[in-house]
Amino acid sequence: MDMIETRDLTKLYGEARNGLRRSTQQVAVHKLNLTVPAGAVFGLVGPTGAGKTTILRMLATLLAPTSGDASIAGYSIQSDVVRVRRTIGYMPDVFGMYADMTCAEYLDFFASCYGVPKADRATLINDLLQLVDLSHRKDDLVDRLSRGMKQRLGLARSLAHDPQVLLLDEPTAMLDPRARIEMRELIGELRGMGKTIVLSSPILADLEDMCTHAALLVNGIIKASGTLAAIRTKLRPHRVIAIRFLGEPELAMSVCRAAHGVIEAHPPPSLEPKPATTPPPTTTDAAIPAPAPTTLAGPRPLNILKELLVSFNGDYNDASNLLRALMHTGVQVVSFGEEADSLESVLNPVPAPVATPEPDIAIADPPSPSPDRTK
Amino acid sequence: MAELNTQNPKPQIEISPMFQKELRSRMRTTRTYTVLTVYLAIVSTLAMFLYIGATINAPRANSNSGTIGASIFVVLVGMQIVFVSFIAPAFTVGAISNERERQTYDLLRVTPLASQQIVISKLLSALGYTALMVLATVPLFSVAFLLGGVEMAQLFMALSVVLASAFLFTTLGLFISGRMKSTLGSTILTYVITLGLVLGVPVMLLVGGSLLVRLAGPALVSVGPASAITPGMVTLGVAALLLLSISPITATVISQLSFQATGNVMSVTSPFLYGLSGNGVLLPSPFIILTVLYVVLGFILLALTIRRVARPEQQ
Repeated sequence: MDMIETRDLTKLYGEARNGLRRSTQQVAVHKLNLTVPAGAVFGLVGPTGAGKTTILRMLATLLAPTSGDASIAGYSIQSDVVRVRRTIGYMPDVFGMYADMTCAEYLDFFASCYGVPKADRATLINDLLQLVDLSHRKDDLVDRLSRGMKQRLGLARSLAHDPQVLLLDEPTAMLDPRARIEMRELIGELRGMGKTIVLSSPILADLEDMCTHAALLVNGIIKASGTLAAIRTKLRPHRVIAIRFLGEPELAMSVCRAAHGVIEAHPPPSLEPKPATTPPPTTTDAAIPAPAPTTLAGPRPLNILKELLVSFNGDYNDASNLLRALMHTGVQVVSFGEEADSLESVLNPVPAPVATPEPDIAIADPPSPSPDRTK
Repeated sequence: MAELNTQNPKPQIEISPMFQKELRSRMRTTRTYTVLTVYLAIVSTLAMFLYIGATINAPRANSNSGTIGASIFVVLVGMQIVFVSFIAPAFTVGAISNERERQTYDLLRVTPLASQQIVISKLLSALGYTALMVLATVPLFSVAFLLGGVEMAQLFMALSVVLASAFLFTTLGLFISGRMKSTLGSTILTYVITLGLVLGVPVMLLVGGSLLVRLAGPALVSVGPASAITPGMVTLGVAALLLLSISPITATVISQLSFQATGNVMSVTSPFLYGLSGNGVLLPSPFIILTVLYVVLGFILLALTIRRVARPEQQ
């Protein structure tokens, strides 16, 4: 069963005002069609300005869509607002604290806003504080908490009415690494409790070990969505295996090319000093000259570490067979593993269409954790 | 986690959580007590000086105690109007914009709490505090009564103007706070409007009135027989009365003067200046017009604020 479903959900900013329509309109979210199965942890990933917060605010009934609709647990976000609000727990990307309240009062207040009976609230608050590991700060003013603690208190607040669905806007942003890990563990626990969770992050790596599903957003449009594995396949149909070894690169390369599941094998492009004769590494020409270091006359040329990048679309068995074949032919494999750059580069590709033509997927582009978070 | 029955929308009779929170936050800050103390200190010091000043010139106090009482009353009412008009909105100018600035606005709106609950809770807690301030000055009013020279009707007039002003300016603050992004902007706009109504209108009317008298000459001010009153004069009088009823200061002054001259609490006559002598058309006293006008306007602003909070944001 799908817990959340959006149908052509669209949001334009700068709408209809004194005839300036169109000229100032800006697309925040364009015809979004998403389904989030019950019990899933769904990640919305995209750079700042991709529309993540807009989507979450629309789902949380805080922002009116320009067109389209969405439903949560079968209730329309436009016509069944109160039911939707009872179904969801929303945590914005800001803390939203009343400085003059203690943690317990803060939770008590929001629990009472959700109509939790007074008799149940004391137990509930203790349970919530325990869940987010803040029991020891129960009577401290919320203002005195650290960022990580505030974020956890915010999560506790969003859980006050035991909602089925959690909408978490960048739950790990602005947290130190330790707090990030704690938040991740908490989300794991909540998933274990059967909650459907939608969360956003500009950093894919943040979500990779938390989410079951994800959607990649760029400029309000979904680039890919589904399970993480499916996205991976869609965006990059093959993986890249990096092999470091001692020995003849030609031999290793020929072994690789003969193996099942290998599309192409070549030395890493940036590491070699480029002789004029070296063709581009992506060429399909089989006769790739040996990397520069091996052509140098030296006493122990074989001891120099070489590297090969193998474009690979086989399964784990094929990978294992490739390694075995390499070892079998006498290639001294030092390391053998999948490149970790993963999907990040897809999300932060070309900065802007400037004069110089850019490749489709800029692998060299470092994953920027979007320092500019002023919204 | 505790098993919760979240399906039950109205679980029990409990004071609105929003109202509880508002009252608690309000009474927790030292500002609340400081404002009340300073206000009382100023008003009672002034009353004391008035009393001393009046009695020093008169060796036998009871010979003119009525005048002293009346002047203390007038000063108290004036202060009350000015203070309430300026303090009342102070408690609401930030009511909603503060939630925005603290980034708690969305958290509140995402709860099933009805927008009327949010807005009315804020209004009541602010009004409650203003009422506390008005009540706290009652002992000073009693001094005025002890000295005599003041009638119950006058207190009634004064109080209805004070309370209606408190209501309108509180809702005005709330309304503007709901529209503006920043509390600073909301504060400035609210006070410009309040200042205009409380002090600007009387000054304008004073200037305009004296110009009119100068231009129209003695015809306007002379007290003639009832037959000399033309419909044009009546219309002019009605317009003047309405203008005078816009500001709490002028409304109080005219109502009190008219009461002293005619003994009528609820009505004045138009043309107003003839009215002092009892001729002309009967009209409701300015304080009644003001009270009705302010209460109606206040409710309109309140309804607009509730609608604003209830609506999902467009931008």
